Amino acid sequence: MEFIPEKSFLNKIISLEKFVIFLIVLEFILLVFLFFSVFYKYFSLGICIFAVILLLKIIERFFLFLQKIEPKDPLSDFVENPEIFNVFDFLDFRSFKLVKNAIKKVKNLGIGEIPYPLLAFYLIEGFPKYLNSFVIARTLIDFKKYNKELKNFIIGIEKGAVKEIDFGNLKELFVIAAQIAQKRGNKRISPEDIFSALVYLGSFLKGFFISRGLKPKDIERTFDWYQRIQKRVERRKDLLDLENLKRIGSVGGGWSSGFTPILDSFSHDITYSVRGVDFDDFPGHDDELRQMERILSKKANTNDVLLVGVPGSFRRNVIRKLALKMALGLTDDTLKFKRLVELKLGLLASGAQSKEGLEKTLGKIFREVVSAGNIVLIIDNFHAYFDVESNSNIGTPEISGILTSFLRLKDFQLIGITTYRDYYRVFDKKIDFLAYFEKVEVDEFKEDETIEILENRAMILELEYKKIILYKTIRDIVYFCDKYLADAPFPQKAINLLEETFVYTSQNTQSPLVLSDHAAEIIQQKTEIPVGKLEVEERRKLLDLENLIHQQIINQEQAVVKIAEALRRARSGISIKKGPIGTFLFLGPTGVGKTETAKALAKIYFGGEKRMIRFDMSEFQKKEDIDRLLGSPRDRGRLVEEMKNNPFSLVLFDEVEKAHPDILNLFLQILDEGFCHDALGNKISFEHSMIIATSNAGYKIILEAIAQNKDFAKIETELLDYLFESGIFRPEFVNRFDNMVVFRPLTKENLIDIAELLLTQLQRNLRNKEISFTITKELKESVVELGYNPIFGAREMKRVIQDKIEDVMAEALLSEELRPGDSIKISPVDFKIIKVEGTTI
Amino acid sequence: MEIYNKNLFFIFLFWYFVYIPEQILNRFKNLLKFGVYFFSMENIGRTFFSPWRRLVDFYEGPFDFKRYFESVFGNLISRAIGIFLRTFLVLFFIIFEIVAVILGILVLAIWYLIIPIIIFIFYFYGIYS
Repeated sequence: MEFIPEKSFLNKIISLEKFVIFLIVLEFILLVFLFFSVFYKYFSLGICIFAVILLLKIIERFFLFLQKIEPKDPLSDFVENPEIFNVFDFLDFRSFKLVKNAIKKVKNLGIGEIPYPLLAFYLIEGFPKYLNSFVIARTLIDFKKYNKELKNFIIGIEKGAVKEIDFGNLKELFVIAAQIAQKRGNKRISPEDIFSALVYLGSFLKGFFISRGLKPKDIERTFDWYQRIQKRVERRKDLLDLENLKRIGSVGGGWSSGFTPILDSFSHDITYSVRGVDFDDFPGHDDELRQMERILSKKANTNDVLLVGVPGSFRRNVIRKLALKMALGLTDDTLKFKRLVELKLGLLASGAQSKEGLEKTLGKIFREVVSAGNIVLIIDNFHAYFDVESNSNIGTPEISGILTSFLRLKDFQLIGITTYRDYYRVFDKKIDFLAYFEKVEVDEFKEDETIEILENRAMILELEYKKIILYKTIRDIVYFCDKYLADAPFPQKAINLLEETFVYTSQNTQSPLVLSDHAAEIIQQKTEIPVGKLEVEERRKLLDLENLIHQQIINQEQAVVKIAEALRRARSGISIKKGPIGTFLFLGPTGVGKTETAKALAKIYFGGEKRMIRFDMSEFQKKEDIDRLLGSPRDRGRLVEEMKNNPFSLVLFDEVEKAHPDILNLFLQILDEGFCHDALGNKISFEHSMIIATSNAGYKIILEAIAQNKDFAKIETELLDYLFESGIFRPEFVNRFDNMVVFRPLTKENLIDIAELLLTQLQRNLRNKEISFTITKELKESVVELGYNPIFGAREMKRVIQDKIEDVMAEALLSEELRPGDSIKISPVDFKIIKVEGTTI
Repeated sequence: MEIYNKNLFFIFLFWYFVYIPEQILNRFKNLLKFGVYFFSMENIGRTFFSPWRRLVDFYEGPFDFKRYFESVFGNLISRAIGIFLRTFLVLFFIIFEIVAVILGILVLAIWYLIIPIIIFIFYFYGIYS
């Protein structure tokens, strides 16, 4: 790769630049003279001056032409084989000047290579004023100010004595810059392209932007946005551009098509309404558009389209894009001059007096469509008119009968819009009817396309709300939607959030800026998931998780440490595993605190026990029970419903060994990928949930091993062997969990601590009633004595406290023998209340 | 044409006498194409003899000479109206295209003549002032 500006064509023009600037100044002076010569009626002089100005103008235009000459070889050749080219042959005029200046400076300094910050300095120097303003508005970073920092860097470079410059560090930079330029559709490499590449490679620049919350990709996209606007403005300026001219419209196109007076009163002409819009406004969905065009251009009567997609996947985007192509005459002859008209069946139904009247009008409309010969009809929610008995479609007319008779005609063309769910529910069995249609499936928008559509939409909203949105906010909106609204598709959810963020900012803040925090606030209100600033709280909890759990769980040190470590690993983002926040399999005898640990986690990490979704898996022992979890086409499943309503929650599958093996298979995907599909194919995300499965299978092994004082690591191996050999769990099921945690049986000391924990809760409740309750060591021992059972663990203790202590206290409170201000303790022998003064009640 | 190795004066000549006229011609070619689009000439050409707005009478019944004649006559009228209006549109199209061509030639002529005119002005000014 060569770096020789002198060999490049643009080098010839550089020397002209000062001359052209001189001409521009001269032109201005001559204009003043022209004014005075006309004013004092020296017309012959005026004509002469005018002629000179004209000449200068021609030279200026020529100079502009020279600047924009395309490179001799296409940029793609440079990208493929950079070694054989001179970089300067591919730079645009601005880049050429800036890079040349940088080389000159480096030569003066006598240093061996061009440092990235120095190059960045010169690039920023050359940025036009409006680009700087755009970047300030979108990133809050003032490049010109930043350049002062860079200048200090340059001043700090010590002069050397090297004469030859090594361009090695620039080779990769210019290849990346060329790739970026190519992606942006530029013929030459612009300063914005080099700068975007520089942010990826230069640690100095990268650090500067990252410290301001912007990644290199963000800078690249901000410049993408800028260049897209610039190109659109340029395109619109050219009044004699064919596409711009065609936006004016046409006459006579419909003269050989029939009148459609009834259709016109119940429809909306999309071809007409999109005329002023740009193709840039509809990114993506190119494959779907091609498919639609192919189907609609067919001469057979199977030229109807069923547009199927998830609601929110912007199915109408494909239609608008097609409408624009048709309006500008860019389709093939079959579709040219046709109209895409959306029939408002709801409006038609609401105005109809009777079912017969409605069918009659519909018949007339369809006849108009056929006789007009230039109409492609669109019906949104197409399924609704075939499933009129469904609760959600009450009042909608049934049109299948009348429609089928028209679909046979090749002049009757229709695009029905429906969802996957309704497609399979309503149309799957109507094979004869479907024969007239071809299905076009609309894919979800990709992240880049969504960002582009948000940028376009943001500019309209900015005008409406008089607020400015930062690029970072757009990026975060896409991120939030992806992370927290996973069940809905792009881009609709992102567009909705963008609009809501504008409304929120204008209603609740005085800020002229629409910020990420505002979007985070809305997400938090929608999902109840802590987003944004609250993540600080999450960090604190994660760091102190062991202590927080131990405030509620006695013993089980190893289990608690394992849980805390797994959670920290998952939430720090370093884990390579996808899926839920954390997945744990708790094994151990009953009553050792497995469920209590889950409850404690729900309370500490998710903000309350109500955030725990609990399933007793003994209720799901049959294969048919899958429907109760995931739902069926008619009913919604509990798991699906709960996860949709509370995506940020702890899901507890108690006694998981009792579930049907097919249900355990279902968990494999959930544990691995973090999602599953309901009966209708909707994606249910578990990414923001924690999954805990408990089981007491093989508890005897634990009890025996503890009795024999075996090493705990060995117990785990033995337990696993037992579980696999006896076929209770399969290895792939257990392996899917982040961690298998074996809970130890509780010792008597542990139980005394648990008794204290339980009695402390009672003490707290009594304190609220102004009654002081003293917990004695004897009482705790007595409770443990009565409540301890090696098989049931600590579970019985709760019952003892309830029967022996709580009941007695409740009676005393109701009979007013126990009053506010009393101080009491409980006799460990007969569990009677003793007032501290000594009176026994 | 390869211009990268030529001197600037040669490039200027190329720009002035080839590139800019080509651009002007392209723009006017756009204008002519727009005329075809604006007056829907492709469509009009295909349907020049079609009935106006597809207004036709389909007579389907037992043969009745009067009714049959009415139907044929009505359809002929509809076609006549169609042809008449389309002829007007074609006429407007032709006028538009002629105007566009004249404008194109005019702009091209002005462009080619600018430099000679400027030289002439200087000459004129040199003699008479």
